[in-house]
Amino acid sequence: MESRGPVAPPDELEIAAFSDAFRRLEDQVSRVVLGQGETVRQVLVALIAGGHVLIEGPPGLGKTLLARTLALALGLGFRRIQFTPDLMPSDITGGSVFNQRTQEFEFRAGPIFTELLLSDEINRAPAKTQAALLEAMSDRQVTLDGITRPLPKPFFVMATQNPVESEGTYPLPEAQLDRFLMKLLVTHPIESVEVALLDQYMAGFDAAHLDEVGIVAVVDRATVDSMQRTARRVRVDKQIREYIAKIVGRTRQHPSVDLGASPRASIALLLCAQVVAAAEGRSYVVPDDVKELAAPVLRHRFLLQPDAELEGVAPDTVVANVLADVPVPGAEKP
Amino acid sequence: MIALLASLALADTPNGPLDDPAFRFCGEAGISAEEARDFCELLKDEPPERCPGMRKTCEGAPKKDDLADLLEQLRGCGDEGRARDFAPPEPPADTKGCDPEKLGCSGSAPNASSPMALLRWVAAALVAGLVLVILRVLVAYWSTRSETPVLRGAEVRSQALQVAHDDIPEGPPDDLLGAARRALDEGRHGDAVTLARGAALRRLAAIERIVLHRARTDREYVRMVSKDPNVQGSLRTVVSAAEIHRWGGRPIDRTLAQGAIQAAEHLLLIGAVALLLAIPGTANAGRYGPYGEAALESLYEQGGYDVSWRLRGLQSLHEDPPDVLVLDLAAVALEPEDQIALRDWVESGGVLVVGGDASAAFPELGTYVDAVLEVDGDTDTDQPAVGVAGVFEDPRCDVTVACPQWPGGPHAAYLRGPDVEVWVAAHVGTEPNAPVVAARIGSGGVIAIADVRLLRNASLVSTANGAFLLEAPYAGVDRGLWTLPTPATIELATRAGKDAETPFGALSEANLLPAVAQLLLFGALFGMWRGVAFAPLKDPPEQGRLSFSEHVRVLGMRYARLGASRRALAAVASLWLPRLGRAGLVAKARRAGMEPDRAEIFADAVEDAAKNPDGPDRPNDLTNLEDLWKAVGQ
Repeated sequence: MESRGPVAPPDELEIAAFSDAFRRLEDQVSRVVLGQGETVRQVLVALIAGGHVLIEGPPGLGKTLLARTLALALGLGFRRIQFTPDLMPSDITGGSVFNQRTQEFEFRAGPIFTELLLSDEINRAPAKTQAALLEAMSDRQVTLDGITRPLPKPFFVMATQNPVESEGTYPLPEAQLDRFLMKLLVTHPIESVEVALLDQYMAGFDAAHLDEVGIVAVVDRATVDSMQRTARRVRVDKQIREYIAKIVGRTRQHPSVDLGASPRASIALLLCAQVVAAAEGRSYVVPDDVKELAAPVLRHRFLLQPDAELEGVAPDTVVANVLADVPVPGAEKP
Repeated sequence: MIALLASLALADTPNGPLDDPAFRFCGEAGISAEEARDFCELLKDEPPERCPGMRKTCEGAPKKDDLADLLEQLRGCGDEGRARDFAPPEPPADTKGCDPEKLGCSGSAPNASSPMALLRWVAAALVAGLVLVILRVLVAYWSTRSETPVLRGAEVRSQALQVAHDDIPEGPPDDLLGAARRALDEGRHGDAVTLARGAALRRLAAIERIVLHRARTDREYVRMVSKDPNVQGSLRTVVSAAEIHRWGGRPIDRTLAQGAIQAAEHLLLIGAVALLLAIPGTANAGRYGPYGEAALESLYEQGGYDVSWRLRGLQSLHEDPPDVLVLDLAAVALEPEDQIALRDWVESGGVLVVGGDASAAFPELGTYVDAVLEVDGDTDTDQPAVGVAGVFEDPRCDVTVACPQWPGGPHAAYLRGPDVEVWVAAHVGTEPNAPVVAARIGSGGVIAIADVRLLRNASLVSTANGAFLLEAPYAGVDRGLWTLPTPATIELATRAGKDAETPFGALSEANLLPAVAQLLLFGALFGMWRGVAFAPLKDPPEQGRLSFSEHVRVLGMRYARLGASRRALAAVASLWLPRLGRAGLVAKARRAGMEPDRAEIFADAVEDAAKNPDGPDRPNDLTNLEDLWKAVGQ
């Protein structure tokens, strides 16, 4: 494969435009989705990095609201699929339907043909249906009856799962999990946030009519595309790349880990760090950018040893141990 | 439970664990008044005989520290004025027996006859004397300085420091800053920024504001000093400049490098002052003061525990593991290795009572929220935004454990995780904020107290607080979370148990540092005035000088044999010219029998050789060398 030469890092104007657009998006979504600032930021990072997110949290925490608000603020199309045990792959991708008038099969697109897809409670559908998302998420295309149909660009999947109810669920296979750029954990809001949320409803807020509260598109598709291209050009020093590789590599040597993170995790961490750097107005990545997103990017990408799981070792603990163990480039020598 | 019984007994003791007379703030009014007043609220529901001194302090007795106590005894006031019973300040009309003419009594005028006034006069005279000494030394130094010829041959050229970018440069912070300035002058702006970063980080580490570690990023260091915006701003400036150079791959302009060096200078100045005076960040953490923790020892002893202070690092916990460990994270910084060792120990059955933010080592506890920081509007922390003052007021207590109390309500809490027991909740209902949470980790457990003030001496004036600390480890046993033997061994890893790491630290803990620093300064100035040498003299002693002279002579001869006569003369001239000066050399030459004109020409030749050691050999170099030896022998 022919490798391209080094690309020039974005100039100050490009970075300023990126940072400004990112901040406007963050502000716009945070107007409605209260108390989830970190989640909003990480979702945006995943979107710009060209990945998908898996959000784990109990129902009623505003995940749908987040997705809808995000779609509005980005000016993108939005669809939601409620995953159930009887959901079929064709319910997601669509299928060929016989048209009696034309005496031909014609393709009827499923809900996956959208730009922002909310896959609610993804672990309630059987593995076969979950797998229907695989090709779409990784290759951004759907193949049906031998015909490959591209998905719109950008294509962003926000999947949710409930950590509490495990009966009647189908845990996502590792291959599927690895396709999510990040796994985000959402918890209940603190009281002050909940009060603010009630105040918002008392003031007439209706989640069904987001346009009434002034949520408008602050960027367009072209801007999102430009942001994605700008982020990819953010400079990542060789030592930072080595740092990322060491972090991911160390997950494979951790005593509590059975199967460590794949090289796809390294790429994911790199892409996310680039977006974070650009969002903060920098044309270069610093080690802190990598550390900031190590947990959401890595926590779902390794398998714990059975005894570690029994002892209650959390994936985040493993990530924290790894980060505490890998020397930061430019820091104190061991 | 033994602890429970002991805690009940605590209620009958007048001062509980503060019975030791060393806890003066409890028994005597006015001692450490500012710190004791922080805890006044806890005395409201306590019996009147508990901590009578602190009670009076809280009622408004005047502030009185040790020095004030001493001065009080020296005062020429009446008997009532010397009485140790401190009443609230009286109106000026009532002088309580003091002679209003005497210095030291309220509303009095100075009177030279009182010892206090004499002390003040002596102090004033000392200050004036010091100023005079400083002036004299400065004037003497600057006015007698003579122009010394620049001797290139004898000059040690400073080598350009090779700056490695893969770590924090090694060296004393002042040296690093000096090297940064030189790099700036030489146009090596990138090196200047890297060196300034090294100086700043090493100085902050020296004063224990940060803990350097190979797995920490610069921005983490910036967040570590978030409680001091002044320091944080300067460090951020240095770090940002270093990042642009190190990770941005862009050249650094002079203005940016200058800004970084200025910020580093600011940090070094702050660090120097902190090192000298060892000013505590918030409150005095004296072992027996209100913010100390010595009372924990007597508390747990009275509670039937086998108590000891932990003086070794946490990484050796597995060697002789205690049953219970009390850890104060405001005093003990946890390295990542410590976190791992601590977790291993807990998982193997240890019970940890930890004050402060332990969420890094035990993420199961939930998110730590410092309400004080949030109210201050500090956004550059890892804390989620709460932004509401008084969020943690009115703890609702578990019925089986005594209800701890914090003056003004707890300042911090955990947004607990789903599997964490809440022993003290901030609010009724499903609110997850909890000032104290407990989690079972492996075979052991962690009891995390978000607001670390619960571990301080003065918080133990509240019977409930003492009872809580005694009962908490066994409450987990009652709930089947972990097991503990009776009696349990307990180790205290707190500020009070920590040895001072430096002589300055020991002096600081004894509150002697300012006095010692002043004495040293005075001694140094006096010594400079009297000509006492504090360092080796510029010239070596007689024997060493002769040896050096021999060495130079041999070197000169070797140069001469090699035909490097110019260098030989230059080497010897470089030795003697700074010592004799031109006039001295001429005088010596004349004393050796040289004519005045010839002596001047000879001095010119010697000076020229010293200035230009690399110049061409001249026919009379060796003659001049011989004459020089003869002359200096006079």
